Amino acid sequence: MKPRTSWARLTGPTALLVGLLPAAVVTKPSSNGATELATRLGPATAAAVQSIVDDAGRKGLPIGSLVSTALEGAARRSAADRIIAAVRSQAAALGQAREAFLGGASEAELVAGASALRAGVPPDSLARLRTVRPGPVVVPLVVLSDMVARGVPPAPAASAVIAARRAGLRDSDLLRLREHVAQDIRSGTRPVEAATVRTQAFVRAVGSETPRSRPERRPYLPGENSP
Amino acid sequence: MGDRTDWDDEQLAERVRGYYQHPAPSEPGARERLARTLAELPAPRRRAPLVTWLLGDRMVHLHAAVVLVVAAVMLVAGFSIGRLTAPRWPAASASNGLGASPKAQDPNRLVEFVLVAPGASCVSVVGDFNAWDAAATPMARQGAETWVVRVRLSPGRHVYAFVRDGERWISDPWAPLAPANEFGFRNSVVIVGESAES
Repeated sequence: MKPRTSWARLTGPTALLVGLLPAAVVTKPSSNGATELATRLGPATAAAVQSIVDDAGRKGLPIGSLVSTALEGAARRSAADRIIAAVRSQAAALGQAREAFLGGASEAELVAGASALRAGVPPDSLARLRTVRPGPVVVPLVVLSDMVARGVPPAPAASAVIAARRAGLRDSDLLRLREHVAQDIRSGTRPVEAATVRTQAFVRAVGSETPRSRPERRPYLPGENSP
Repeated sequence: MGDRTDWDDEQLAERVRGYYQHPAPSEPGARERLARTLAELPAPRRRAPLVTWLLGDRMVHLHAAVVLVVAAVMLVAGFSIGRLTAPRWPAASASNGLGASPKAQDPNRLVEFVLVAPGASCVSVVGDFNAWDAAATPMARQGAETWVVRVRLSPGRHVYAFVRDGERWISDPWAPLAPANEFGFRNSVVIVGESAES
């Protein structure tokens, strides 16, 4: 039978590659936000932000939060220089968080860590949160940042969350602890007192539970605070 | 550089000419040994028919419609594979659900945002999940003062705020707060499925 077209002359492997190309394109992660930046910011601001984003990308830092910061600034109708400064500051904080974690942090951990550092949390607290117990530390960092945002000084807040994590409080426990601390502060308790007293109560409660219901605890590492 | 050569050009050319004009005499029996060696080599393995078909250098004639159909099928397969292979998180976590708080619903990662805003004429939620676009996610009024919207969020940590009447930004009073940013505002935080311990 005579072929109906002669232009599509492909070898087997080439045909397969051509066929798989759409699939590869579809499953590719989303772009670096250049389109949104160009749409929502002025050309000069978008270019300046894009430059910071590209630089962060080359350093292996997560760029999603940088684009988000710029878009938030645009939504708030902030001045261009303020938006650029915010993005630059966020990029610097992400780099510091990566250093503080001593490597191996997930993207979500880096963003949460950057947020904690910007709140004034001591950098060594980030690594200690990970060493006291294995597992992701996004929730502990969010709880820590929240305490600081509500007026608990960074160092006591970090000590409280590290002690809670070391004592075996799970992420759901930490979120409940956060709610209680926030409620106490709303009720007029001094922030540092709310964080300290509530954390001690949660740690005691965890200690009184049956060992079977809790994961194994790691022994203390040298240099760590005792709970 | 010029004084380091052992051979000048003329000597080298002469040597090469001599080699080709007087090739080295072949060793007696060399041809026979070469033939025997070649005969003893194992025969090349035959490829499977499918491999031969795939790797064979030959012409394939495809109708344009067939190419388009195959591309469309691959496109659909790509979407499906992407959805199936997307990272899954074991659980969702958020605040306790009092008043204005996001309620994570684990399997579908639907997060419900609730704000009690007496007297508001419109409320929307903005965050890193909708490019901070106040028009993107309007909330629906429920009762006299409560505004609700459900948003499907990807796993991870998200920051957000409410926008009341198109201009006033409000933190979620019941959710974790992020530290104040350069824009002078404390966003709220919701964690979707990040925790492996909850």
